[in-house]
Amino acid sequence: MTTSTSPDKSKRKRLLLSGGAVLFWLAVWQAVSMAVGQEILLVSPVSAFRRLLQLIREETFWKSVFFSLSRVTLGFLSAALTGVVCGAAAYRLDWFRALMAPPVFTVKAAPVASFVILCLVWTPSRSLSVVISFLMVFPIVYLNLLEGLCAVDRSLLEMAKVFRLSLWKRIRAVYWPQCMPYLMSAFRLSLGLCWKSGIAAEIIGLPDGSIGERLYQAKIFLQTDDLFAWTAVIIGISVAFEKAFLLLLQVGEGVYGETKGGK
Amino acid sequence: MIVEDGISLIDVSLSFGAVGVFSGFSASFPKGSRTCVTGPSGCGKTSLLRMVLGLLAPDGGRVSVPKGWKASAVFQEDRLLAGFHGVYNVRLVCPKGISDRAIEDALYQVGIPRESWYLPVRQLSGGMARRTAIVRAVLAEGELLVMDEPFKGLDPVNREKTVNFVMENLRGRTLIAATHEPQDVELLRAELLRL
Repeated sequence: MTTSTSPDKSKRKRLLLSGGAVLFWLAVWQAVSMAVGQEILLVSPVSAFRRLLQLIREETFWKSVFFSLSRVTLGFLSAALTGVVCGAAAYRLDWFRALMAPPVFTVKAAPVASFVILCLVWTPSRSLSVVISFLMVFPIVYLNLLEGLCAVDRSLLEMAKVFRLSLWKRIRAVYWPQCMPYLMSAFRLSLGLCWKSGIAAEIIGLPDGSIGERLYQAKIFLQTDDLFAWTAVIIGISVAFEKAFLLLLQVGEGVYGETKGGK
Repeated sequence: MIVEDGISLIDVSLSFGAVGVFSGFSASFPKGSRTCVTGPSGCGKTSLLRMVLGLLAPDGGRVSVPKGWKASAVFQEDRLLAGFHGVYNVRLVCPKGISDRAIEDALYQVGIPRESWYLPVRQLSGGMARRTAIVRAVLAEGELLVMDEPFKGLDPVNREKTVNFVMENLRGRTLIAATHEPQDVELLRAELLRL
């Protein structure tokens, strides 16, 4: 008798399980909506989906998506880059690490709303989601990378020193493989967070043509179907953004990883 | 005694907290010489090698290594990049002129089977990883080869293959090896420095 399952079978089982869970909660949502009986309070998944289909046919929908997507992406990418550069600098320079500690702690601990209001005073509302996404992502990337760099195996660094490996070889062979899990975890955490905070900032700042503005209007005019449809859009973009970015990293890792196993 | 063309340790003292390891210790390793450092555990063999490699500064005295000398080492632990295959680990430290084919030949000479050359090092046995670390140190360029208990854990057949490989590829380098095994002194045709 064999108890082993093939990878295909277990993948199919996982897919079935997660698909079943989604269907279950959609059914619960539909049932509760029917029980409440007032679409203005809780719209049904069918109505939300119908509204979503209407929205995607509108030009303004894509303009809003582009507006928010481009800004949140810009905030995320600039924070990721700055976080990596500052994290590496803080690892090498004690004075820089000490200098960075207070602002990083402040940004990490302060509520998003405080920053949004402050940023509204300093910057135009159109740039708000860039700044807020940046502020949410930067400390996570910075701190995770710094932690990863500090955890790099000292004995391998000694080996690199004895064999006089160039900086590029040290980064590629010693630092990169050991810091990668820390960076991946930082990106996973911050990708979702930058979307939530970016859209929250847009709801407060109401830049023209943003997803946040559309959500706010839905709330003002009690368009619950719009609210749910836009929420679904945000979740969809956020998941797609996360998957695309992590896939890009894995592809990079795969190309580089040729030297790991295969000839 | 200071040697002009070689490594000298002059009046070196070293302690770890209250534990003194060296006090007024002097030794010299002329260019091209082969020396096996022996002594009981904790006598300072590894510390001596680390001072020669510049990884440990003595509390007093001086360690003199000729300017421009490059070193390679087999550490007490293998210190290989666990996620990368053996050929990559060796290639990383080799001068550009050494091809993958030459590295494969070297791995073959020390008894590592062909099917293991491109496996991530973490999948190799302890003995294979050890031999990969030795190949890495031997193929790296330099004037000094430092080995800390290089052949520990190797079976007699692979030990002989590996010693032969080291001897055939020394290229006149200065060799300093710490060992517990009296036979290593004979196999490496080295002088003995007892601590």
